[in-house]
Amino acid sequence: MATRIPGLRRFVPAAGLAALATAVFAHPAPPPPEACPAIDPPSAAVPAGIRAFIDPATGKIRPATLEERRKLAAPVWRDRSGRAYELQIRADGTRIVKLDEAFMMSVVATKNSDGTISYHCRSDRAPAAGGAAEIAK
Amino acid sequence: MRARALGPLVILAGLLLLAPAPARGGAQFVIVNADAAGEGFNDPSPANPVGGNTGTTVGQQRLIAFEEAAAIWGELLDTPVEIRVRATFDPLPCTADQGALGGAFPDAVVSDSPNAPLAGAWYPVALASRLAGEDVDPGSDDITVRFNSDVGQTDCLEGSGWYYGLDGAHGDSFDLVTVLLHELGHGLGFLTLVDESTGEEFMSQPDVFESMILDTQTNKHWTEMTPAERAASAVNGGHVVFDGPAVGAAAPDFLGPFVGVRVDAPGAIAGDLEFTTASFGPVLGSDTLSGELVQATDAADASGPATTDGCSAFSNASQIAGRIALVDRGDCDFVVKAANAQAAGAIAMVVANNVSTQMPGLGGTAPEITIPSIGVNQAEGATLKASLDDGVILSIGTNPRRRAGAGALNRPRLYAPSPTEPGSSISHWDTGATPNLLMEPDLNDDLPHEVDLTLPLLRDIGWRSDTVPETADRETPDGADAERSPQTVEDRP
Repeated sequence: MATRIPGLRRFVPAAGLAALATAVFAHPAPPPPEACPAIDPPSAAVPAGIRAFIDPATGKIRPATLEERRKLAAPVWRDRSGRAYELQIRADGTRIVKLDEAFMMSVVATKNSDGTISYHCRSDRAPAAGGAAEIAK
Repeated sequence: MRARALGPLVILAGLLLLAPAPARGGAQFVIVNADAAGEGFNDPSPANPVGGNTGTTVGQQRLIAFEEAAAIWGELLDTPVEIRVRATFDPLPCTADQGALGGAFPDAVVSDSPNAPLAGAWYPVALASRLAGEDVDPGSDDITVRFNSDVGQTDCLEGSGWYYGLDGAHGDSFDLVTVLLHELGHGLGFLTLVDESTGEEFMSQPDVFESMILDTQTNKHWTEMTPAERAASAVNGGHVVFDGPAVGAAAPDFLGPFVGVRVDAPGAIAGDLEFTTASFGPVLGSDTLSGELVQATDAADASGPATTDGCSAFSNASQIAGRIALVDRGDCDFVVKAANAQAAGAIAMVVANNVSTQMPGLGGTAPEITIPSIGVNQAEGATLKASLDDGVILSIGTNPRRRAGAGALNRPRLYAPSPTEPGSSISHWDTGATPNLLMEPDLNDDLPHEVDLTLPLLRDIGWRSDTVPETADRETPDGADAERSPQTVEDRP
């Protein structure tokens, strides 16, 4: 049985929704969904309710285009540097995100002025240099 | 370091191998050779066998070293799903004095997969597959590893090349197996995805490593914190620990006695003192000592403009002799201050930080220094200085009830420097661990080819196994090495 972590919040995709709004009908006052459900293919995670797509230009309900459906099914999240990460949601609810070299943990070797070598592990999210010289004085 | 016999290897360059899962406990790594012909793992340059590595070309030796590291991990982990490591040996950014040796990252993170103990939490893909009992991302690799093929060449750390031997006798060269063990540790899950600078979680979800990070001052796990609280905790050095049961149980097996510095007098400030250690001088705690702390003074000169920086010969040497010298950080190297303190007859040196950020470890090399040195934060330094007239007595010695690198309840500390060091902060053990650990941010030369306290941590996040002992010592009683699963090499077409 799965355990929920204290303070856990579910991912709520923001990107890809700019041109669309999602409404839920047919069931009175359902609790707000924790996450925007995958719609392509229809997800078992949302067993009840009908989703409609409102064209922001006309304000009318219309079917989503294939591209709009793809975007909703694969929400994109950006970190503070603007790198984009795409969430894939499988039919069984498994959520997968491919990482990139921003998460590379690299060992950097530095030759010190006294001829010794020091090693430091950092990620590519770190500044390119700095810090090492400060610890000598 | 202990030499180890190399287990059977499967090196079939040019063939596509899909090895079956191992019949016994263990993990099957598949090294996916993604290098082009004639370079990296396929470098045909002749090489003499070295340190148990029987390869006769540079490419072969690189591959054998990779397999050695994979075999060490593979023997200790347990998964029915092969772990695919995409590996390359390519030129990476490098200068004469500094360069990337290599790195790794999990190719994907997964949440809410079958049998994942924590709902809504990211797991590295290899671990998610292990928990699910099937490959949750079929057709993809699990870990990407990239190493620098230029190391040792002109303008790239020239004179300090790779050591491909398997015996750890690397001398002044870079031990590839050690660096690989460290990097594979990250790829298997020894990392948090949290942005340490902002405290933001990756895609607004926690990760399984994060779920066991505990701040002992707020007594909150990171998953119970706001981003701002996490960012504050990330620089709360000495108070951030890994709160996993396997790690807590194993810590006494891997961490030595804690060396403490205590203020014995005056009573108003008596108590344990937080401090950092030095890379030079004797190992702290090798001898118990006690003495009065005295502010050292020296000339304001070209060596250092302050009269308390300890950068010149002390002007109050007669007061320092037989006592503990207190100097301020700044203006010159720590080893210069220590040399001046020693010349004045001090029995130890305390360096007070001159800025409000966390005091770093005292770096430098000086074989001639024979007195111990420590560093203290600016605030603690101010407290000590304010009490000097009342007679501050410090004692340095071991505390058998505590472990070096661990906080209360023997929970090992995580690296939490201030300011934060992205990628280094939190995703490594604290540098105060003694003996040194594989997953400290500063890899040490004395590391054996073992995975020490890292294995219990991986077990805590989900890499459990009933087939291996609780400690990471893999030697059999007669000193022979345990059998290893053969690892597989696959050439990417």
